[in-house]
Amino acid sequence: MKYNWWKRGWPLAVLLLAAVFAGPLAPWDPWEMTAPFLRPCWAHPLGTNDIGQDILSELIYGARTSLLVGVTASLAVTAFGSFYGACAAWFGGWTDRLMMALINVALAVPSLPLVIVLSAFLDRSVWNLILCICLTSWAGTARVVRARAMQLRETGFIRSCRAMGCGPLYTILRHLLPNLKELIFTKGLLSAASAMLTETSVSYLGLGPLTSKSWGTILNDAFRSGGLFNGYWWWYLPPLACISLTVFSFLSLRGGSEQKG
Amino acid sequence: MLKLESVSVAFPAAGGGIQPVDGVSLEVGETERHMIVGETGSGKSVLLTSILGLGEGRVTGRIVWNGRELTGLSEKEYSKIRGREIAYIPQSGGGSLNPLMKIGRQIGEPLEVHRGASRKEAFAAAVEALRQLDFQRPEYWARQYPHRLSGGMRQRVLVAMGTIAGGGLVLADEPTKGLDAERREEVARLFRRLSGTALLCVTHDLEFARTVGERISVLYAGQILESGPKEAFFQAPLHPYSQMMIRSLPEHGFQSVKGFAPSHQEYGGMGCRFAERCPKAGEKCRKPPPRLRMGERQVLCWYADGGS
Amino acid sequence: MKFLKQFFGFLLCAAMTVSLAACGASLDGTESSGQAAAPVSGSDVELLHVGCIYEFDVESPYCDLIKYLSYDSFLYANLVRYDADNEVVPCLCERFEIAEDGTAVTFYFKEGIRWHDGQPLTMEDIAFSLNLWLDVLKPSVALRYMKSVEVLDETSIRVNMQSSCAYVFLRHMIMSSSGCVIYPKHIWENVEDLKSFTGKAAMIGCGPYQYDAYDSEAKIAYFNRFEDYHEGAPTIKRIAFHLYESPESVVMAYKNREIDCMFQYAAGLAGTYVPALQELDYLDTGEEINLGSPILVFNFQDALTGDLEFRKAVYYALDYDLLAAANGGEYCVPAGKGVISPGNIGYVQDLPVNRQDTAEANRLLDAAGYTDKNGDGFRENRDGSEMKILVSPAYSPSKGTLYQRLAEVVIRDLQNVGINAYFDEKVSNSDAWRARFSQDKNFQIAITACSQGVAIIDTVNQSLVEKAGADGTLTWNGTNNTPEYVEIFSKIIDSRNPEEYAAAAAESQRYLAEQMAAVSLGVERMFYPYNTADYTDWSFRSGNGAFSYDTWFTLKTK
Repeated sequence: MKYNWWKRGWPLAVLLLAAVFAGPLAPWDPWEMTAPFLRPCWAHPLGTNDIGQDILSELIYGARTSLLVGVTASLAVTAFGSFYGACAAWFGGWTDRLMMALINVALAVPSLPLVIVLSAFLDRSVWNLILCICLTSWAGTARVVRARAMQLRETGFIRSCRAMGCGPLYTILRHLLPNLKELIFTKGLLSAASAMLTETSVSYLGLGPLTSKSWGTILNDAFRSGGLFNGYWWWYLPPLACISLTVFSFLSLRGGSEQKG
Repeated sequence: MLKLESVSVAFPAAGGGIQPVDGVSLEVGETERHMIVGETGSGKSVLLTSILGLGEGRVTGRIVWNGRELTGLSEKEYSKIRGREIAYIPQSGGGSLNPLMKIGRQIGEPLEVHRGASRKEAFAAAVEALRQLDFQRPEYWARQYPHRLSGGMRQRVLVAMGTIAGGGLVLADEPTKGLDAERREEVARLFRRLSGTALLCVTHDLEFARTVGERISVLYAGQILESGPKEAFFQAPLHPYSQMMIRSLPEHGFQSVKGFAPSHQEYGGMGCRFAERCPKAGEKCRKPPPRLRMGERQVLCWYADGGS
Repeated sequence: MKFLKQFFGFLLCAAMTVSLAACGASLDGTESSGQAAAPVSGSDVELLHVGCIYEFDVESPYCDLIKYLSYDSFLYANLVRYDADNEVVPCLCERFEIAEDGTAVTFYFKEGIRWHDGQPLTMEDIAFSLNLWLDVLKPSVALRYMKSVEVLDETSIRVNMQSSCAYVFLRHMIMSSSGCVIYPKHIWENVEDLKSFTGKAAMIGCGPYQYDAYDSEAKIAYFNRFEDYHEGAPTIKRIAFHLYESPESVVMAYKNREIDCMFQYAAGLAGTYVPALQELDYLDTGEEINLGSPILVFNFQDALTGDLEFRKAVYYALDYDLLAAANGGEYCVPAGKGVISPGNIGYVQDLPVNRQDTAEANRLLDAAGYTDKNGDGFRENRDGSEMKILVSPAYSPSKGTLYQRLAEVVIRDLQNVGINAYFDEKVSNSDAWRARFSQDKNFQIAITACSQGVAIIDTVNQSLVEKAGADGTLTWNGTNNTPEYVEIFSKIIDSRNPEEYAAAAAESQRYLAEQMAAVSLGVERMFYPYNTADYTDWSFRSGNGAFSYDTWFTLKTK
């Protein structure tokens, strides 16, 4: 099993390393300005951007934002969504109908436009972006967990919990959710990938966090400064590759999470 | 002390609904071991689950536990009693144990939840319970997951879970299913060793009822046909059904009871529900028979021995 | 059966591939679409394709496209217009006379001017339109200048001014953005709500072109020349405006040879697109200098930025090469002191080019008492309190994050000389920016731009000065209200003729250089590519490119 994880998870491990050790890894401080619009050279392997910042260093620091948004949003969404779905399944009846209605409303709202609109009203920081993403993507996890939890609710040991006099909270947290952990883990990975893509999209549109580096903002800079037209492939291809690889690595972890024991 | 007075459980459905438990009255003394013997479909499990409000049917009649009404309580009030004062041992079907939790932890869980034991203490108690249930190397087994256990072992684990917390009453539903003679004896021993705790156990196993029980009741088609102290019951059964059952015991020659019990839908129109299979059935049996009480015994029959 | 399925599948793929390849081929730019058969050389132009980034949302003078075209008297002729050097010359009128004291201007008209619907133009039309501007379209920039309108006789009309500002009034009225056009009174006199009156009738003007039709699917607006135009019929018979979403689309259009030139008020293509354009040999890239520029503005009413020594120090701290490069790559160079870009009227040549000198910046700050008293690496105020400078980039949907990038550079440069500058995170939308810059005016340093139009009308000073208009409201809404500056600015406004205007503009440029009221962050070159393979005799308006009023009367086929 361990071998399996490594085989599937190595891009993510690389990403994590890059994010944690961005300082020593990056050849330059990505906020430092030298000469703008340089092509790739020894000093700047990926050239410089429009205000002379090293693109490779920006890329490495960008891993932080992407991972931060992806993991944080995913944790929050998964924790809240799973608990919400499990509660809805457990209590049933009118409670469930009400909770399900809320899920349906949340699912109907298109997430990217909402994030864009919210970005216009709130200060543009990473945390507000994570908040916006959480607001729109918890419902998917909740719905899936609820469906599975409703099945699980009928199994013998869950009913025994009730017979044993355990309260609903105890049963949900100690018995119900742990038996859904494979599902929750998979949804968590998907949420992380989706959150990262949303953050990249928002940053690409120029609405991202103002001060932190992100792959989406690198893309935005590249396109705005005519990078596409002038063929500065070293500027816009690496962020695209990074995003794709990261999302791919999150998704490929799914297969490696077979239930142990 | 548990008292059931005319308890019925109904399941509403299209076309009238069914009533698998019909007017059951019985008592369980403070430390009494009361066995309810019945076939499949007699309403045993429904009866048992309705005591703790775990079933889905509508319960009428009175269920009194230590002077407290148990019918119609809220979920919250039930949960204060469940596991703490009255424990329930379910039938061991598939999924009766949490597949992701070590069985030592599961057995000890009632102690953690109700008696405030720590994880360690509960685990140690679980190991001890396993030893009493004749598990070789209980420390090893306590660390295993349910899928490594055989059906018989699982049943014993469930019994351990139900009895470990020691409340006032244990409700057991078919605790010997899937067990061979030796294992049955261990469960019987464990039950007999319950001190300070009453037992209400439903089973189809008459032999088991004899070794464990102090009082026997016979449940058939939702009704108590006969009830009485064990000795009296086995020496001189009053109801024809009881007599036929006792004759099916090995020492009496394995004579089986012929025929099938009526289905739930048929209950409504019948007189005596055993009449179809009864060797002593007569004209009177078309009407619902009377309940005769004689001291500690009671019987529901027109032609019971000792009655006319 | 399986073979058939595979075969049809293969056919489908082949068909898709071929059609994709055909799409790609048309990007080569070797085909020309929509051009008529080669006409006789030197003749009138049959159909000119013009690209622009506007919307044609309503058929009325309030549509974006029509509004900006009005600055050149396209559909609705204006009383006067700008010539090639952005000087005021007569357009609808035959001549104009500014009174000696500049408090009035009289317009004289030819006889026989007609509207597109054939009705004759009368002085009532002129008076009606000017009074609309004054009374109805409030709050109106006209109030800064105009007092009243007098019809003198059948071919002349006089406009009286609030002060001696007749000349600047003429300059501004050409580019008035509050939509003052010369309306035909017989059509508009009964219209209740000007902005909701649309349709063919609303599009009747007396300019050299009249409205024909709008193809809303292809997004092309068609105009035909007005044969009875009072200055003679233009040489371009028909003009098609192709409306695009973004500069990138315009460049793609050039690549596909869909357009012959472009029209965009005060905004040509940025230098970043030049490499792509240079590959197309039917085009001349049409390089022009932007008469406006990106600027750094100081808040004169703030304690810190109101101090001249501090401003001078900031001036010397900035890395002008990087700022210019970030703004426009190799097509933007550092500007000169005094903010005003070359090519503007009255431009002063002898001011030095902006140059970074961090030693000088440090020396100025030390001398002025802004030293690092507590050793934290940043300078404190004279009284020892903490000094922080807010740098606020303008919010501009069209420029995207450009001003934010420039602000980052400015912040870094200031921090390098010990000034604790920080980024204004709150101006993330248009309302927040307007509140910060125009309403509350609680910025310290702002990174914004002086638009080309503003530069042409009455110089960049109009956005820096704080001066009340004639009706008492602060119509010039800057932060510099020092008497010296207000007086210089008033000289510009009240200049009575081009010479006085040029002199006043030059004086203001020297003042800006000396007092460091603002800093220009670069002189940009903008590009208005035009088709020299098929057409000749293009005429240019400085800073506006090849699609100008004069071009309509001079352009010929090759």
